[in-house]
Amino acid sequence: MTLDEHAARSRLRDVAPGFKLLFALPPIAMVLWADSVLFSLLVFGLMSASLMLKGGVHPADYLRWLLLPAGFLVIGTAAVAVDASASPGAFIVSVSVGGAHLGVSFAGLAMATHLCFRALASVSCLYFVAFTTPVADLGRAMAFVGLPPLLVEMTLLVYRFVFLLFGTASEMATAQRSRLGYTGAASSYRALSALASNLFLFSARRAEEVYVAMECRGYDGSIRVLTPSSGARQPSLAGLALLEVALLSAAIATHFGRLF
Amino acid sequence: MASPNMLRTEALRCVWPDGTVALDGLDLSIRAGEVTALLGGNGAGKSSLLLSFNGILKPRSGRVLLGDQPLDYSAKGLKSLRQEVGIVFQNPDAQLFASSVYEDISFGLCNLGLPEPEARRRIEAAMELVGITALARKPVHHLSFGQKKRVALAGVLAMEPSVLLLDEPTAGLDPKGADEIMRFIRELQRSSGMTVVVATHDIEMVPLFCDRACVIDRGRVLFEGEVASMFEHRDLVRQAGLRLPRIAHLIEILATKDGFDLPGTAMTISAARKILKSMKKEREINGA
Repeated sequence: MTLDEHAARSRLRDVAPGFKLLFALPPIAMVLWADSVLFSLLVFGLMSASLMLKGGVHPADYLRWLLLPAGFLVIGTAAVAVDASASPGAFIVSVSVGGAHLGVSFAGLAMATHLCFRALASVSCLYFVAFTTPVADLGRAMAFVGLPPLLVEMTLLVYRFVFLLFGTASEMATAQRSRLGYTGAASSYRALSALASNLFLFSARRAEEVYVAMECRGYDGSIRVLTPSSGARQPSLAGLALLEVALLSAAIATHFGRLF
Repeated sequence: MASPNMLRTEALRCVWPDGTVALDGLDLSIRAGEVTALLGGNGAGKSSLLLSFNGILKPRSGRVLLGDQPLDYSAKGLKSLRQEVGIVFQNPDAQLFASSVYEDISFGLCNLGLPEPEARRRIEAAMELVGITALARKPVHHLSFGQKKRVALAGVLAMEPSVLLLDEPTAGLDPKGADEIMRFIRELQRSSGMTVVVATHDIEMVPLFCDRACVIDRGRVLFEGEVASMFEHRDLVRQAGLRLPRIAHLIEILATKDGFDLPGTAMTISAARKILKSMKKEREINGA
């Protein structure tokens, strides 16, 4: 299942996007600022629990999606942990390469750990938004906070047509494969270039068609639509604010070392 | 309606920017409150004609009239024209652009500048009418082809046009889906008195759901008249790269090749059945 489908089926879907963003975005800033493993774990736990218990995301699905950034995380933090120095004294473990030594120091390891947990917590916050909020709702929220309509319209149009483009590209690629494209390096390059140029032509033609169809419904240069109103019960703003204040207190406490 | 003709073209000539002559002196009248089938092979000019009815394609010469008024191609004129004349395209992916069903249907209504409660009422009604209420909040790319076609139709119906232009409404649908959508359009036309133009080469559904037929070929009208009279002008139908419905073809072969003396012609199963039954009755009377 794609993230998009998760969002469409989420039990938190009908909660207004503003609440969800208010719930999940400030903690990212707090996590980055507090720079504490404990606080990162707290946020990660909170987001993951809300997603699985309130949002109805299956733990196995969630874990699978977490593995995606985990790959980047491992490579990225490994680079931070490993350091080079002239003397091997600073390292816990090291190898000598030529005249220098490559190794992992205690400071590097601590930094990598912090980085890893901060990244994980931030990702869980973003995942909370991604798993519960359809892109159309995000667009509405963007418009609500005053982003220029052109940007919002472009975002939503790109979102709609990216799926069409993917669908068409995969159909073309299947047709090419059935005629023995992508069998070797040379044929792969040739098939890929044909696919790309065809996709470009397709996009241009489709843009023209969509424009004509929009004109037929009275398009005059700005896209105005009505959004479905949901009668769902909304969370209380006060409760949400209280939660954020509690999180902020925890962030301050951990940052200044009272807890960790 | 003062004139029985809802839409009319006079010596309409349209040329695409690349120089292709789409319509070449086309004279045609679409009657109010009827379902007219626009028949023609690929590239005959069906879609171009629909686009010129909607003011998208401007005539090189000749003119298009809505009621008795020639089309007004000013921005204001086009706005009122497009409120009056709605068009549903063949490919729903070219028509649906919004990220959810509800938003897409609302697009035309917002462009009309309707007050929000009225717009919402019409959106609900249109979704109810075509049976997609459950899909309202779905992203468009999660829908099946048939569902997308319905959404595209709802988006136009919500604007409550008095003329509905449909480009290949049954193309790409399974037999049941195609039947359902045509049945729906026929019922809608009967209950609302809407004028409907269906561009198609699905010839089998023409005698079932249409009142009049117009055969065009290379941008010109070959035949225009009651669907029932298509049988007599079958050579024109074939000239346009089309054929008669299978039943009509069978009746034709029976009459011309096999020497059957048939009391009339038929293009549908029910009409053919009537003929066969009357022949059976006649034989019983003669035999008795």
